[in-house]
Amino acid sequence: MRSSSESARAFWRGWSRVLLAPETILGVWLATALAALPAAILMHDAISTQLGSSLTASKVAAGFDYGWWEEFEAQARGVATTLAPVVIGAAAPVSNWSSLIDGSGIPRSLLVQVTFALTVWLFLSGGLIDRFARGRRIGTRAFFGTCGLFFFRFLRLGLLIGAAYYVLTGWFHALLFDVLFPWITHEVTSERAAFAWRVALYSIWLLPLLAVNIVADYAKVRAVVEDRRSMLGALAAGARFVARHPVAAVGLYFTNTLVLAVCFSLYLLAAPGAHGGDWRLLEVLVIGQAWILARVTTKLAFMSTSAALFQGLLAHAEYTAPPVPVWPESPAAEAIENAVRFGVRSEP
Amino acid sequence: MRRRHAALVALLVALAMPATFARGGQAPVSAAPAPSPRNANYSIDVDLDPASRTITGRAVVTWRNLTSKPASELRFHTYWNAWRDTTSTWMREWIRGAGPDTSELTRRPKSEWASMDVTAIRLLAGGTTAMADLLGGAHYIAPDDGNAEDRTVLAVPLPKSVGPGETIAVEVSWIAHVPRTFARTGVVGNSFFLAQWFPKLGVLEDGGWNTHQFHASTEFFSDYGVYDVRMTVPRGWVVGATGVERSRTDTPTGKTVHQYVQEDVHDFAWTTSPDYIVKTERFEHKRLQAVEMRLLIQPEHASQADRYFMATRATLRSYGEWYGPYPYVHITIVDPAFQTEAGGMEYPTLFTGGTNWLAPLTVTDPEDVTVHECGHQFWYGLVGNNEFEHAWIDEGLNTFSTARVIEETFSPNFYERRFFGGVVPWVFHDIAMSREIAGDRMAGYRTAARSDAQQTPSWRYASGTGGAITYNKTALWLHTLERYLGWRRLQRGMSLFFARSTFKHPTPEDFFSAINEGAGRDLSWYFDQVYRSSNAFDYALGTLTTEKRGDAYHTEVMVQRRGEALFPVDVQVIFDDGSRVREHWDGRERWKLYTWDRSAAAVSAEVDPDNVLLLDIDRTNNSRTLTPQTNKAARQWTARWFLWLQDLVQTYAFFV
Repeated sequence: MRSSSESARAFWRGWSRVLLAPETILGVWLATALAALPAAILMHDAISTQLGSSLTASKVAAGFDYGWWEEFEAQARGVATTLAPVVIGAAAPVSNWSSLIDGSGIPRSLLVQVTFALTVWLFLSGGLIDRFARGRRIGTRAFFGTCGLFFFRFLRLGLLIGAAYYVLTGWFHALLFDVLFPWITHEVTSERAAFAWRVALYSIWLLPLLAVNIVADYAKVRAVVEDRRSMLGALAAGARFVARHPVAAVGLYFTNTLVLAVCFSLYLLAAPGAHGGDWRLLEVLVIGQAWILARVTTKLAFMSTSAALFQGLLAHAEYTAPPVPVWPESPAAEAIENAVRFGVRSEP
Repeated sequence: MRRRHAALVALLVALAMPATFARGGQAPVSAAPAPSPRNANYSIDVDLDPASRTITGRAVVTWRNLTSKPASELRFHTYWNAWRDTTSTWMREWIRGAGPDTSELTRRPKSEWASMDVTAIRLLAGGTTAMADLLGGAHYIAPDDGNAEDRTVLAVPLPKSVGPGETIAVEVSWIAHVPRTFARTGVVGNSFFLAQWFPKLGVLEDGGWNTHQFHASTEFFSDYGVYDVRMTVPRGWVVGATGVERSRTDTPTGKTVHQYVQEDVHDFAWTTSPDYIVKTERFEHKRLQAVEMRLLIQPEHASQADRYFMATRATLRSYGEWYGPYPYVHITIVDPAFQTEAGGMEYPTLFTGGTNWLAPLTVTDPEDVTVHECGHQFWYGLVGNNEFEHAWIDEGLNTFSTARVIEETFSPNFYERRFFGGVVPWVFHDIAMSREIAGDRMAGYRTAARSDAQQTPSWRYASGTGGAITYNKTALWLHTLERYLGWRRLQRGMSLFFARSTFKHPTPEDFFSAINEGAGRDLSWYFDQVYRSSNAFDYALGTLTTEKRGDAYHTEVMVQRRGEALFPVDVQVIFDDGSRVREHWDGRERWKLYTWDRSAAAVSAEVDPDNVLLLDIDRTNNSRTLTPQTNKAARQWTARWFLWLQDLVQTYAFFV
């Protein structure tokens, strides 16, 4: 009972911390967009060069011309090879999820760009968790200071968690889908039955992957909230927290996932198709970027709600073994200081 | 069994020997002459053992020498030996084309490979007594590449030559192991599809036996005859086969013998499984013969039966009206089971379609494959071209015809991608697939445009390019011809070719002369470009300038021929007062300059504005405009692509 009520409280607290901090949403959106922008410039150049001053450009401006696209694809190099019909509307997220789940991975030509954008995400993560844990503005200097402080710690944590992801997305995925699936379905003559097996194997693969993801979330939260220097310790602490509060942690995780699913459903209904025109371009920019903002916000909410849950269950002001406040003090230290000074908890 | 065989042999020999009767004695008293030569007739008994996945067969083959020269040997195709191991010519070519990933072969256990072992060959004459054992002298040959390890052509020397017009009967026994599917033949689970499953005679021509080895990129070639086949399978299993079922007899061993007979065909394929659901409907038409359609469909596709029937009807109607009637009274449509890879293949009076468990109605892939394979009843079944040497005659003409049917009857057809293991379909309702792009398969042609001249024998095309030249290029040059001549003239030529070549083995020259006759002109210059050369077509708009000179505008347009192939094209210029001029260029020089002095400035210019030359490998360079929308187009698609990239980043941010 306590778990579910804490989980619900953490959900609302976490989401409100995010939504009341629009500058973080926009900041993350802008940072990751800028990281990927150079690739967009290359793509624009590739399309312009191939079209030249041809009349074909009018057809391409009016919508997706499949014949043109086949010609473009035949001569495309590098980043340009990734232009395909799947970029249209809601096919894009479906295609990306499918490539993740089926192990296709990131296109080689975009590996550098995507890795850079993810590195930006990692860099910002520490400052974001700190910001949400405090539940108040902390100023740009403090924010980026915290980002810098935790970036290298998160890199170390990333090595540990990354090893687990590597095994799961590499060896374990191959075991399930390149060995077990063909073996199980070797004599299966029904596509429906084979797909049922595939879904079962997806579930078997996703379970440990999500478990690692949840533990990783709380490892990062504990690293920041408790100002931990040891990432092995943070990882162990994260695992302990999840093990002791599985219902709350997993329930919160899936509730956030449900929110993402709802956002996707709305995007599915509203996503602009392939038709061109200036108004359609505006639709793409507005509706499309609204979807990206929804994804960024949900990701931030995962961080914020996890921090809120941890703080609600464990890292509150009456928490024993308080750390010695050292500037820049951790959120826990600030909470204790506030409790001592003002007799209040530091929560919105 | 032997008495029945003797009677049948006598009947088949009699049917096959009208020339002998005519030469030596009285003319036969018979009904209407057979539509085909019926010079290669098979009476076969075959027993399928599903547990060991073997078939044991015995065939009486009656063959008449139609040539002007005696035959001192027989040559049989033993196709399944191509899949015994990796040393056959088929396997070597497949491995060469597969590139570094040959895991499909290395993962196969021994039990999933094939074999076809002839255990006896006896010469029969008159009654039932076997006259001579021919197996001792039989030996495998490799007439194409000398590969001593290839066992797909069996030469059987005869004790006495078979003279022109004479007939011979031999009894062949064999055991074959059914593989996990290779080239649409084999078994998965309880689903058996059996093609090229018996030792089949090659074709004797005046120049000798035309019996190629089995190649990875080619199909088959054999003579017309009567097939009387008795297949023994487990009781309760559904059987589909070439021909019509004449009898069904249960055996004391828990099996059933299904007898199928078909006259005037050049092959026999069959399938059996306990899982098929059987449905029948009838094709009817005012001017064409009615046809019974029998569909063997998988349970999970049962709701798509109507799609199969509709597509088959459309084919029988369209091809019948365009080219000539389908002469048989029945057709069997097989919906292959998942993973059997038996789909998309043609056999006389039987073909395999193919669909998915989730198959959106607005994506006409199931219709496309059904029309194509049903269409092969005309191009391949009735017009029996040599698929080893001139595969384009059936595949190309059929691809062209299929695209026409799909455009007329099953439009619109939208682009589809499949996700999550290739199962979940996503339809792009903003992307309609056109006949020239999807139906004629332009993209595949573009990548192989210069790889080989089409007149190269099909079995000698470079690895991985045969399909593009055979299917795609032919469809594109036929469609170009349709736009150049008009459909009526092209259709006249094709129907002439069909009428003259039904139940025969036509050559490319037969086709070209029929088209010339139908068109009412000599198109050799065109066939020289598309068939006899590997040149590619690429016309381009080189430069467009318009400048004010006094009160008028001086416009210059330079058009270029960047490819080596030649075709007459129009050049159109549009001016800013809405006027247009059109010039006709013979397309022979490397470039040509056109100039105009007019009161209006030019806005755009285009080579081949009506898109007649569908073989042009680069249409983007065919035009220029002085008011390009390039930036607008680039913005549209960069914005969408960038959105996808941002989403990709957010997807993989899961790990951060």
